[in-house]
Amino acid sequence: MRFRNDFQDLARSSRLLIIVASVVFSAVAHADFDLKYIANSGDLDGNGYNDVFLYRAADVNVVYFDNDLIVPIVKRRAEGVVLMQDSSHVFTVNSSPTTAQIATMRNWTRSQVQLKAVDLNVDGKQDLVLKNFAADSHFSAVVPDQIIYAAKGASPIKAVAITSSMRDFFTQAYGWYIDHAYFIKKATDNGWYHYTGTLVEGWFPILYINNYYTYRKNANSPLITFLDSSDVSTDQNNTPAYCEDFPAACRFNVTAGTWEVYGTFRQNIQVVYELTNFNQNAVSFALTAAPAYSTVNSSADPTPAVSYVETQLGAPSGGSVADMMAYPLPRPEMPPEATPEPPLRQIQRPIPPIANEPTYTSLPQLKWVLAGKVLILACTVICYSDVNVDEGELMKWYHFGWEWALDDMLRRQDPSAPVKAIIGEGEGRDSNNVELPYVRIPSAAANWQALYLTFGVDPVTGQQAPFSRDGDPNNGKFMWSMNSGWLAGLMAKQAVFYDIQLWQPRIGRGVFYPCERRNLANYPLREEQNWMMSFAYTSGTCVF
Amino acid sequence: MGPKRISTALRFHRIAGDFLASLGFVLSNHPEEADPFNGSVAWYRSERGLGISTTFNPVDAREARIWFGRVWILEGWGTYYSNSLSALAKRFGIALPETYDMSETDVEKLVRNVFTDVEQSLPTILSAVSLNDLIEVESDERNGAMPRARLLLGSNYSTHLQISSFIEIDRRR
Repeated sequence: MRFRNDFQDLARSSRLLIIVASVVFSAVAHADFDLKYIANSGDLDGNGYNDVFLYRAADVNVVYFDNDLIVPIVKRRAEGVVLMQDSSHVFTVNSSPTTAQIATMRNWTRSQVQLKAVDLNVDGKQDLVLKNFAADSHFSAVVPDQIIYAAKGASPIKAVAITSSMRDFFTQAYGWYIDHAYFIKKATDNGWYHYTGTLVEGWFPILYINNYYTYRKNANSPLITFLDSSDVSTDQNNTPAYCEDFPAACRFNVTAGTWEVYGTFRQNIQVVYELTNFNQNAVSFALTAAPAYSTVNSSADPTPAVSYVETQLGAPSGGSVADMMAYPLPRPEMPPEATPEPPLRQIQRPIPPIANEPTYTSLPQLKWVLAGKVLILACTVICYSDVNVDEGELMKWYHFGWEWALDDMLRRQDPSAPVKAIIGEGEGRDSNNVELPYVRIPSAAANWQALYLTFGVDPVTGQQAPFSRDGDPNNGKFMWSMNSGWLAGLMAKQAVFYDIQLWQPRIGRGVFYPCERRNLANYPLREEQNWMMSFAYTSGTCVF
Repeated sequence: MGPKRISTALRFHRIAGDFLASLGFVLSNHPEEADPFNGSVAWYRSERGLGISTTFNPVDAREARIWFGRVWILEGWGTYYSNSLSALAKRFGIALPETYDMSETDVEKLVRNVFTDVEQSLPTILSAVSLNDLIEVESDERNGAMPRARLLLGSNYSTHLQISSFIEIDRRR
């Protein structure tokens, strides 16, 4: 017990020092919240609506003296905040309860409300999220979840209700953030669109009509397309499905070289997506932010977009790289049996001075990245229910990738240069299923001074670190979730992606590359490049 | 720690091991090991200089494959076989799939299908295959070992590879 003996020696010689330190810690009241907070519930002001007393469990260190004397030393005094509920289920913060009130509230019953510590507005101070008041019989089931913002600077501690409107905003803004086609896809899926165009009677190319119209063979038949899978609209000898059913309304236009149909149809059809079905602040956020996320080192003013986010949060967001990196996004729990764990490339502390240099991250640039982090964090606690553990785990892996992207950007040799990254297919395996040397993507990255997704180098083997060796069937989707988080982090920084496509000699196609292509489908800063036996990607399906 | 998972390759070996041994093939790896993508392999060598490898990749490629023939070891680029078992089988009038879809979750059925194809084709192939047959399929642009070696090692690829010595059956006796 070498460590314990050392500690005893230290304890003897520095007993006074430890006690003094406990006094210093106790002065740090309400700096921010952490996982040591506890909630009790009861009615402090007797208005018939129960209140919440949040207090911090004291840190206690146990110190051994001469092997038989055990002395607990309190490092940090408990701190208390009261959330006073009114008849509208709105909470206000009382951060200075009296000693007598604290004594009363400590005797209240422990609340079953869930507490989560998270720096939701990315200001470098952890906030507290209170969820599921329905689990506590002291509260009505309609009491909404609450965010308790930690004090920073002149900002007081503040309670903000998580409303359905706030949930919609973050779900949709986050949805757009990770896939810029989000609104169009959702609108299409839900039928929230209509067509415009002038109604005209006459002959129309069948391909055009087939794009926008369906028909019925008779009143009782289902709607079908004008062309079936074997039809070619330009082949005179291949009569389209519709023309077989209604030959009088069809002709082959020899001059135009296409089949045509007669009828009254809309000319110059345009699809109008009915965005009024979405949260309007989320739509406005996306419209305001879209230009900035499409340009390298955009100089677009982030203020309007960030203000949408801050209004929804009900609190100001942070403004420095140090704020941004104070709390990394939540680390995923490894799948059971996973070994070895992929090495997390720790964020350097203290933050290197260059990180706050305007040449590295100007305030507008920082704010764009910060807005992305707020969206991710907010969605962690707001968008998804705690019931779906699998979804939550995927989300954590997503965040993990996002943090890696941030870390990768910070570690570049020239952090002021535009961010470049490589995507493409790796080498895969040989015919004995042995993983081939991972050369192609790292060498492309070296060539273009670009970043690439890696788990780092395993210090034991000197090789690319493995994700896990246990063959958990979930590994693939966890890995993809991390990969897509990494892409999103880079997109938030307007990175240019050098796409080296498929690797010609590979046995079987990789699963991640089609998904990378899908995620970048609407992202303008992707350039296809040839590198080490590139093979053009023409189609593929993302299985995740 | 949950229960230890059984790799697909091990499932294959459990039903195919005795059959392959009866044809002179000896298991040459640890099929119980699964890679990070849940992929696994069982590969076998024979004294005639032939090899057969069954690879199962449910995540990374979502497919299983059977490789067969002379064993090509490419310097720095791993091990390959003359071609897929299906390419050899086709020369003897037996139609086999080149890959087996692993997007389905019925692993037992998949393994059974792979074994059935091996069982129904390998005796015929082994009794008739010649060096010329192997060279033909090795030259095939589709999955042949030679085009892959040329791609990976360059035009003077032959100086950077080893090919197992194939012992042909003397049919004159």
